[in-house]
Amino acid sequence: MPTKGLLRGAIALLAVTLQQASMATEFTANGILDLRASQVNSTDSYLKGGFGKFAYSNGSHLSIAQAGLDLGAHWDNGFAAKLVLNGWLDNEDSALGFSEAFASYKGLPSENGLRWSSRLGIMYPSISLENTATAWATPYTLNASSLNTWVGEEIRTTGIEAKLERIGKFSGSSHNLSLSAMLFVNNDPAGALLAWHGWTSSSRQTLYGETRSFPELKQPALSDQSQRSNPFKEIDYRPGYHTNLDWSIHRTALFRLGYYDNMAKPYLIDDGDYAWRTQFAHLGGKWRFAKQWQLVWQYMNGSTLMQSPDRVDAVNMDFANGFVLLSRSFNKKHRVSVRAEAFRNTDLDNTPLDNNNERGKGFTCAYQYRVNKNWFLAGEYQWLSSQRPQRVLHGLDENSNEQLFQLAARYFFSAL
Amino acid sequence: MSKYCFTLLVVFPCMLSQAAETLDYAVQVNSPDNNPVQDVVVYLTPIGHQLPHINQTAVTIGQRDKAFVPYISVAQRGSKVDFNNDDNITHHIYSAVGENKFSFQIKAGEQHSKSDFNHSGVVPMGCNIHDWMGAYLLLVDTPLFNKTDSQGRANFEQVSAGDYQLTVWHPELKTADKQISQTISIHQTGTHALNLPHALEAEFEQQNPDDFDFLSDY
Repeated sequence: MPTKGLLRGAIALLAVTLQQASMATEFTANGILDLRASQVNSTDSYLKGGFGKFAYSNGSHLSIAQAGLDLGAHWDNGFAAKLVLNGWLDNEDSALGFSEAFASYKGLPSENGLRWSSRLGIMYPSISLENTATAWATPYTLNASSLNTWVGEEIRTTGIEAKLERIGKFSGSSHNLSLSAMLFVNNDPAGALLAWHGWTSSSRQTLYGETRSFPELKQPALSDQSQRSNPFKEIDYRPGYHTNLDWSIHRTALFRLGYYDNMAKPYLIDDGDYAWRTQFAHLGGKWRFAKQWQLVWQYMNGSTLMQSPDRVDAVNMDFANGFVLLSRSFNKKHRVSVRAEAFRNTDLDNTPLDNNNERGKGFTCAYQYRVNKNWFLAGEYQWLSSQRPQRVLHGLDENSNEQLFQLAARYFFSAL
Repeated sequence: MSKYCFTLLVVFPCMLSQAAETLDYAVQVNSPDNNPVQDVVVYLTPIGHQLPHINQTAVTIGQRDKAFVPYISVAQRGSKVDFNNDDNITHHIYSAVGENKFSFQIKAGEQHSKSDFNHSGVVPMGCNIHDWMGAYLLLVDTPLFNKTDSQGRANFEQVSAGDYQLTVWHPELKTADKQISQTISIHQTGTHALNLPHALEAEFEQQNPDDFDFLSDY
């Protein structure tokens, strides 16, 4: 039923949007092309169902680590529509499709600096403070943190969001507040990949409708699960919600606090995909403590639950992840970033042969050189150490120390 | 007909002679510690007499590198204001406060002119796409207005002798209505110096703090 309501809303908004199409429409196109050479010390990549934490399996790789195109249409009355196409070409799991598609409305601020805006469609909820560039790329590093790589892999909301902002400068204040709330569908299996392959780090996002493989399940009772998970699916026809508060201080700092709950009924299964009740709180911040210096941090803490049809816990897991990133820009010509991160999954159920415990930490060191307005050359070293008992059942060592060296040429463009 | 000609012959030279009784005048604005203050608006409103002309000099407010240039503009109400977008992206310029509210989108490289700023007062402006952009247009009811130069001087030419309300305005001046006001008599060429009661607060910095050119709205 809620899906029907959302659908009706979507059609109404689309109709309004199309009606506006007769008015002056402005089209925009922004893009990114990321050509990557990678040298990995690891096992098989998570992208093809292994336990490797990077997007590449052990060895050397040349790949298109992202080809993204952000297409926009804007109307004078504040309505806009956006479609983000993304593609990856590599030896692991190439794909081409779209990652976001939504209509939006942004009103004008009122006399006391209040502004309403809204989004409707398939979109990222406001969680990542790293993935702020074109097509959800990150401007700081080549690979996103494990926290945001998971957001890109399993968290995508099809819904309606309303946001109220208070713009401080209207009252002579440098403090801005923004509160948003969203009702969404099509994210019920989120949590499956986090439980079964754990935290990963890459520049990969899951396309809408794309499925992702994961290490073979050893517990026979889980045999109803198909071999690839589809995170963007509606199973229980009950919407979830995301709510977010941003507090920013003009030019200096941003603080973000949010809560996600997909409200999935965890005892349901649909065509090979279980519903996972996944909920988490996220907080983070950006602090420009000196000119050209930025400190970005995020922390997430939550749980996911999947049950048998008779409501016995099959996977009951708590998770936590946090990172701190320090970035220094040198007059837009050079950028050096370092990032430290740590994560933990705690398996609370008694299901044998399905041990989803995981602990890990990582370090990333990145350098970017801006050749001209559009071209960037980047080098990055990443180390990720993790302990995961389930690996033993697959003939691997419980502990792994993975390393990744990458060189990239990234081309960003923006065209009208 | 002859009566009309007579009026013209008599009155017109009178007006000319009145116009000849003008003089150059300057206002010097200093900070409390006696340093000249630039880009402060100074205007003179006549008291007990009327000024013979209006100053309809067009004002240009540019959008360059995602910032308003200049940050502060001043014009007599009713004047033409040209908005020039020198950027290669669209801006959505608005004012949501006061009696001169407006909103329009302006595409890359285009100009948008407005001649309907009919109310005097402050017009704070912003861009609904780039929230860090901000600027002010002050609309005054007198032809005698200017901004102080790098020496802190606001020059006025051909000022009719008489009494004036001198007003000094700046958005970062922390007084009531962001201005100070005093009555002065102008009867000879000269300079009136004044000190601001407080130092100006830091100017609103119109710059996207994220120094990366390809950011999206996430």
